[in-house]
Amino acid sequence: MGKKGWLFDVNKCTGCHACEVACATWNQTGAVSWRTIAKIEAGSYPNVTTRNLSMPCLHCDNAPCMQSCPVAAISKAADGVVSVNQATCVGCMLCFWACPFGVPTFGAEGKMSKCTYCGDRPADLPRACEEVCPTKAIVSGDMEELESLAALQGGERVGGPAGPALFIIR
Amino acid sequence: MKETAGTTATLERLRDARMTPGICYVCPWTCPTEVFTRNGEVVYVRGNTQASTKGSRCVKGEASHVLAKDDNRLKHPMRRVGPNEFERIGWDEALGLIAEKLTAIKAKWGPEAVAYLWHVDPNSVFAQIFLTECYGTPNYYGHTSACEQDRRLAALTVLGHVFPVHDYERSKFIMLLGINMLGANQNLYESRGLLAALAQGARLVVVDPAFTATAEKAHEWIPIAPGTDGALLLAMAHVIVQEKLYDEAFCRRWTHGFDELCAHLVERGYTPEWAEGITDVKAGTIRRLAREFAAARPAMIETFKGLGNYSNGLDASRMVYVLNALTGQIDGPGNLILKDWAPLQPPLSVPEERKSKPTRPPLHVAMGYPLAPDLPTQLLPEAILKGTPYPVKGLFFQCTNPVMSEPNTRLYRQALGELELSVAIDTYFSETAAECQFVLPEASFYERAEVRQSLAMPPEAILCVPALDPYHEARPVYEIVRGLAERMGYGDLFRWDSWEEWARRIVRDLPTDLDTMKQTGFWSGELKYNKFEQTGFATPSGKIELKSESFAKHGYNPLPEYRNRKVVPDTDYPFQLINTKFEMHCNLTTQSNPILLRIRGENWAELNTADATRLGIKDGDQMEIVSPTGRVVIKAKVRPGIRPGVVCVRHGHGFGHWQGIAKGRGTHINPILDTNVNPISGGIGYNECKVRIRRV
Repeated sequence: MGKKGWLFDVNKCTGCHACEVACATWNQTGAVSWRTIAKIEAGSYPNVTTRNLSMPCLHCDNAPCMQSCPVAAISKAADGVVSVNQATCVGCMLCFWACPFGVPTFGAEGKMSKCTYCGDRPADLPRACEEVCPTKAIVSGDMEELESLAALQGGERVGGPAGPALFIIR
Repeated sequence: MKETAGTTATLERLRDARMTPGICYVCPWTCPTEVFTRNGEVVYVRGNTQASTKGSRCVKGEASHVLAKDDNRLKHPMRRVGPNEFERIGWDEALGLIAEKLTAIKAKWGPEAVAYLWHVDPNSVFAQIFLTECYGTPNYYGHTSACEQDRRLAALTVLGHVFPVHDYERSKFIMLLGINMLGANQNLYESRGLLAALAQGARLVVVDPAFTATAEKAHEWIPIAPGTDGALLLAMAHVIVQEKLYDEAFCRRWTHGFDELCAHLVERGYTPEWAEGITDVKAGTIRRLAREFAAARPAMIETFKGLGNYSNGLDASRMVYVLNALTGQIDGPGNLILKDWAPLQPPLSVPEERKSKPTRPPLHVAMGYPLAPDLPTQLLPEAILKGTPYPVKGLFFQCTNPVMSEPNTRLYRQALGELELSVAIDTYFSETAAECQFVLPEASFYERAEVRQSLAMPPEAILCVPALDPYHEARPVYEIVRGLAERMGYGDLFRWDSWEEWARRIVRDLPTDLDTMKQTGFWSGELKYNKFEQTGFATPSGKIELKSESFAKHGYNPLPEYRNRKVVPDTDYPFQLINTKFEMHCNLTTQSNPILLRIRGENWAELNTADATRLGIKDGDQMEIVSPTGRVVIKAKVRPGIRPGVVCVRHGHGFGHWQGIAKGRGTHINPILDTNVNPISGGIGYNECKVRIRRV
């Protein structure tokens, strides 16, 4: 089984939040959001640029959250998807501090939750966030497949010791 | 690469859920959907993957499943018994009382004294038929004057089309003025097409005082001086004429007034140098844009609501279509598309001998706006309060909230109090409903049936099948109108055993049938280009009217000209106030959705970093905005992406009384706007406002 990951096209994302709502709706996340949307405006008038980012869990190769967890509640499956066992989680938030991307969220019950890569969706269907995206800025799939897709459009894998499973086109 | 899920693909979670085709009506773009329900609850909604939106949805639509069981919705008919006081009544009593008043008003004042207004129009064709044909008032209107009134009149008079759409995907050069395709209400296939065009190397130029979500994606952002777009466009046309960059064969064959327009542009001296002094866009830039646009094939220039926010927006909007015509860029691949409509028929017909004929002209004509494509609603309070041009005594408001959405809100509230009959039909209570004598709960798009046109490029009809049982006592408009018709002697015409009966009549000329559509949710015809080669243009001359015969007939200048906007900043009020939308809210209808409220719960006013520094205003500060009409306090957002000298309000928040959990969050800006009506189109000049600001 290939490792799963993401391809994100910064040029296509408009920062509309549809993916965030689709994720929360499909995964019934309640008050927490498993996707973080950022609109970053830079420059000075009239030379302004904006970058939109929509960030889920990046299901890192060397997931720092997993390494930081004192009760081994976080695991990585054969397909690369990082998940948390809430029954084991003690809500210490060490994973939040370990994650370079600030992904783990904590609801009212105090347990960690985050993107499950829509675990109950068959692999040949889009993730909830991907399905809704009006501009098709989000693509999920096998990393090898995403690598060739990214290469076609001048994208590259995001670096760093954690090894985030994310190709980005910018 | 995988495609989006097909209609037949099964998700484990949806295995025993029932799918019905739907129409998302959270905004007027009406995207076709697939609604999955189980045990009377919506479990999942996705875009109809086979229709032209291809499965994608917008953030507002995605959050709209909340509607299905939102406890804040209207549950039963109510009658107003005092200020902010309502009592529950039954449907029978409500409809009986409304029918009585309708009969009394007709007898005393004539049928024209009743008008119907909508913001979104699910099934309002039933109200239209009943009121215009049976009751006899010509006054059935929408909300266009608060939206793209100037653009609509420009498209009608220049191109003979009410609502051009866009073949972005095939375009090579796209110039957008006052239209935020990727940020405001979204026509989803167009958003995707625009991004696809850019990926294929198309050039995008965005002209807007604000660095919008669309400007973010542009190769060039031109932060033009507010309300001067007409000068820029006239100067571009001047260059195209002077340098003979037009498509002469196309212009000779398909346009009317070509030579007059060319002479007019030169005589008036609409040069790039002239425009530079008005627009603050360099003459060299204007010249280059004109050349780039004229050389690109295919190309398009487009606008929507933005230009019409100024009193001079109509001729600016006309120039948008004139430029497309000069270069022969109309209705071809990659151009503006003069959309073909699906051949839908009325759900019922009224025999000639049963029809009531009005004796007075429609209100917009009587008000002196014969070309207005929709009612100049800013003049409605005056009509009610003074009885000019003729008495208005009864009003229906379907899913529209003019007490919030119109400038000069106080006058609107006062006028509503003078009516003999006022009826709000809505899913939620509103500031307008609060002033109405009767409030009728409307079924949402999960509980009602509808067949309507889609806004896709090809002719396309879309179907909404009720997915849920009625919500409490809420009824669809077709049932509400049937109730009135039965009480006023027209029950035999508004008779059906099920919605399928009238839906079959609507689709009878389609090359499909209702049963097929109940499976697919839509019927889509062939996308055809250059349809005018067979049909001509629906204008008086049958050609594209660079010189408008409709304008000439009513004594307006048939050739587009430049006038300054009405309100210009001065020493006392040094800033121009402009309005934009949030991408996660639709006008006034979504702010109390708890999901959207969490993402954007309040609005703000944006100002340029340099202005803010000068005035000691920091990002997040509370800021006072004072206009000659009034004063509000609003949160400041400081950013480089806004033209200096401009205050840009994200509108839609600041509900005072009624919008559920959105109450009291953010600031309602309209109380500081004065009445401003475009002299020909009747559109509302929301941006005709000068202000001063200070930190509080």
